[in-house]
Amino acid sequence: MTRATALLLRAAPPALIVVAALVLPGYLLPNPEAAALVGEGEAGPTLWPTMLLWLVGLCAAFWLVRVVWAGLRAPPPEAAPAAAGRPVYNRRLAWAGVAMTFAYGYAIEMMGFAVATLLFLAAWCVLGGIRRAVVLVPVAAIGTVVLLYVFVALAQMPLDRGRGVFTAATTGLYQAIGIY
Amino acid sequence: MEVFDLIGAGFAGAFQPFNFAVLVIGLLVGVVAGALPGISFVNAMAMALPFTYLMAPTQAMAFLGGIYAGGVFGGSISSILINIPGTPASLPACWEGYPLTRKGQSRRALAIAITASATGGLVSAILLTFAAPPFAQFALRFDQPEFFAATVLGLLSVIAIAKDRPVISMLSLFIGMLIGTIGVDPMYGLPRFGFGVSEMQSGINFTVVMIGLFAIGEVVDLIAAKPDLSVRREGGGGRGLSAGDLWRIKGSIGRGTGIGCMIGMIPGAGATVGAVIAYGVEKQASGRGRDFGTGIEQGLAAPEAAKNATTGAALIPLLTLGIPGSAATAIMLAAMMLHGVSPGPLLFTGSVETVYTIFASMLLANLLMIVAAALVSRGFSTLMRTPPAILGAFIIVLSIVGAYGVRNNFFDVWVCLAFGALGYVMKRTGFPSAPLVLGVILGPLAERYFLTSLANYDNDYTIFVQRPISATILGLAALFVLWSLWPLLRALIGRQGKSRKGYT
Amino acid sequence: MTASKIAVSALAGLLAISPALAQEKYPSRPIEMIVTFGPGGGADLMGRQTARLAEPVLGVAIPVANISGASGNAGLTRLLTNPADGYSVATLIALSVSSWAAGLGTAKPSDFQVVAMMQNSPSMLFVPKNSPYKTAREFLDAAKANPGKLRVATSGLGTQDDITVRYLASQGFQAKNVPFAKPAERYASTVGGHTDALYEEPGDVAQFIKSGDLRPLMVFDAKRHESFPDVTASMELGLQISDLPNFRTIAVPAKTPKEIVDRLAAAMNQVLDKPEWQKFCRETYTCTEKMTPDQAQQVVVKFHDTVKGYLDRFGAEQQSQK
Repeated sequence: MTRATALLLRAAPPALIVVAALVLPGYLLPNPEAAALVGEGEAGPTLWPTMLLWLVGLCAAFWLVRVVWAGLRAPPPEAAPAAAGRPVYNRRLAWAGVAMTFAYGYAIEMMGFAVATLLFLAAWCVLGGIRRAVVLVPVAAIGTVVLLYVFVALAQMPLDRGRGVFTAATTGLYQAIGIY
Repeated sequence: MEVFDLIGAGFAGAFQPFNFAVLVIGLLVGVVAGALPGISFVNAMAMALPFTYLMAPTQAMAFLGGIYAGGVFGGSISSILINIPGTPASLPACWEGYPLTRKGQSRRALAIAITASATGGLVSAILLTFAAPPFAQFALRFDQPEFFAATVLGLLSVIAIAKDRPVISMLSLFIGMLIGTIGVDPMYGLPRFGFGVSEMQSGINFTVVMIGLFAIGEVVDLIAAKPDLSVRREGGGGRGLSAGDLWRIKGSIGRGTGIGCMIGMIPGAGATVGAVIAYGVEKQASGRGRDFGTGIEQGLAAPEAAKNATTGAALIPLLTLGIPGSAATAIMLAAMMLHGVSPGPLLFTGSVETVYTIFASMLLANLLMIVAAALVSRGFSTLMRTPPAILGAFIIVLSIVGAYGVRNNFFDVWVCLAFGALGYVMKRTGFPSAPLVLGVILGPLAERYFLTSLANYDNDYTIFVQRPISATILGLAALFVLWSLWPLLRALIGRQGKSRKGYT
Repeated sequence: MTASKIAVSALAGLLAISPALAQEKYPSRPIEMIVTFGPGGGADLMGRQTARLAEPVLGVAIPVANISGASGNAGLTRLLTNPADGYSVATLIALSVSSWAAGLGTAKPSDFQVVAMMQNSPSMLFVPKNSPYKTAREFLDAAKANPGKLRVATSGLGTQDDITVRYLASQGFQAKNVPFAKPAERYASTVGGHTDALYEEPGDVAQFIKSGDLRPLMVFDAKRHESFPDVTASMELGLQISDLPNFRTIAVPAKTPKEIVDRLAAAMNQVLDKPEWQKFCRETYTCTEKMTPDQAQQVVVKFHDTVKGYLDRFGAEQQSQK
């Protein structure tokens, strides 16, 4: 990594925030007529967000100036010692985990909470390095049933039952384990 | 002494087997629910509401009061053991409690947290018992400008907490406050930053943000780092807490309790705001502010005392005026109203015995909490031996259930997941996430109080310094900022002096 | 291990069971009651009482789900996206309907079929205990003498509260609207004397009325309220603002089959007859006559048009002033 790319990487977050602070006022209200509701000289719904956008923009600009200033004066000091401090860190695994949480969210809406949770518990354990079926199957199955008893049967939360065929599947499962 | 007769009758009521059992079950449910990442005590109370249909009003209140007191504490167990706050109010417990665990002193940290919480809760329950009506009258004199001033104090303590890089911490706070403005505004009902998504009108809930940033972000980091969790149990969790140790942190507990009792009566503020202000004040007052963040016992004790001290105080406006200040007390109001009992001044003239049974139950809840909390803490310490992958999988499921349960709205789950990804990035890059969450909590309160104050006082911006109580609080806030910035200013002046010397 | 075996075999056999379910008679599984506001408010109490009392009538559990946000529209959106099979019902109250008229959300009355009118009550004007105004006349005179000086605590701008304040102003009684997003803060502000008056329905502030902390001055209705025979009706003072009632209904999506709507309506009527409900509605001053689903639907449609009419009129006045 050259000095220039390192500086660019470090300057990107504050620069993005500054840009956002400049662009966002245009998206504050859904339509211009809405602003006309507010009486003259009155503190209205736009006062607070506008003030905050200014503050965010100023802080980010200050940050940006400091990063650029420090980057031009001396090479970034870290990177090397930080990597040495942590022997094993698998960044790819972490991003796979993030992706899996989103997949879980999507699965809940599609397949319902019960089926999605069963699959997710097993999948996350596999991702975390637990591959033995003797552990995986009971953890996922018992875990799901316990979660269902606590949140669906006891707490009566309206958790998703899934779409189409899965609605019937979830309802059937609930009847099979005595929740309905 | 008529009051003592009434309290005696109250205790007799609270000790009736069924009442007592309900209280203990409530406490245990509260501590466990609070300790589970994702599930907060508000979730637990809402889920418990249907069960109170079957109970008498006093039992319903004892049950919910037990969950409330236990749940406000419970969040700190997961804060201390795995650095994931179980409820937003336990955020400060991460900052000093988790470093203690890293040092192998988890048992000691938990003991401090339990003692401080129980003390704070007990003092506020005593305040509730003996001084509820006069305190309620005092609280009524507070209007929107005073609430605004108190919120400003909370916002400023967030800045005071920032250890280093104050500009980045402020940026984080302002971004949080900006996120808090999403959704319909409090006066005109105009949707802001909607981007054409109708769900955005409901706004971004702070609990959902907290669960995403802390629980999901942390678990994702856990799976990649594969830390050996058993290291944290080195030496059996450190030595316990002696009477002498307690005496050393009495000042911190006292300050925290006082702050919690005051903040608890402000509608909308509640346990989180109390804990944050107490942490900020303690950082200045304890004299060890420079070391905060490395596992300082005073910094753990003060916010713990404060957050439980808000529980009894929050019941004062509820019971004496019928005004619920928070989500938790609104659920208690619902439970009483469903039984045809309306809290308010009439409760004190009509069914005095009911009132004193509730008082006695709250006193008892905070005493019994020590036992319940110690039991559950031990159980959770054992749970930490589970492989991180399995632990993480369940934490994510609970987080999503908890995020969904805030409003039973699936949009919140997506928000939570997005903040989970953001939380992971923030954690890796060292961008402070706590000010952001506090911004989401305090920002909407500040805006609402600010705009209503202006609407009520002819758009006069000087109203905040004209009213004596609000002016006093703002003055204190200003002093507080100067006080916390003083070391920084002195260092700046000192450095300039030195560099000038170097040149000449 | 047995629990897991059951779960696995159940999952495997699910598709076999499912077709049988569709044939069953309504209701055969729990009905979800969507309460469109958070716990502790008037809509929550109504939804929970209804669910609790309707459970034995319908013979299934009715779990309550609070889906709050955007003046109740978050929960109503959820109702509309759920299947229209009668297994989700929601609270539909005046505040949400007036929010559509004010331009919030995309819902309209024809998206819903109202099952039953559960509660209905006019709004009233309250003053704190030690207020100098003893009667509605005195209050209005003071408003006339000092335009914009008296402060009325309301639930927000663009709501029926705001419409009433603006209507009074159009009649020469100008008061200042101070909006409070949280009901608890609104009540505290008037009880504490920080605002001069409160616009609210009596049921939500019943404890303050009984304790004397709030005094009712005027009821916005054509006639006096039977529980408050001493309180002046707005019509007596010549004010034509009696068309903004606070109703609370139970609704389902418009596409729901008629048999299911009728089954639910019959159950709700049985709930309304229960002595427990009678006691509840008397205490909250919200007892109402029983209506058929179509009559109740008419009330909602008419209310929506009325609010829209007022808002259009005020909007036009504002434009002409500019």
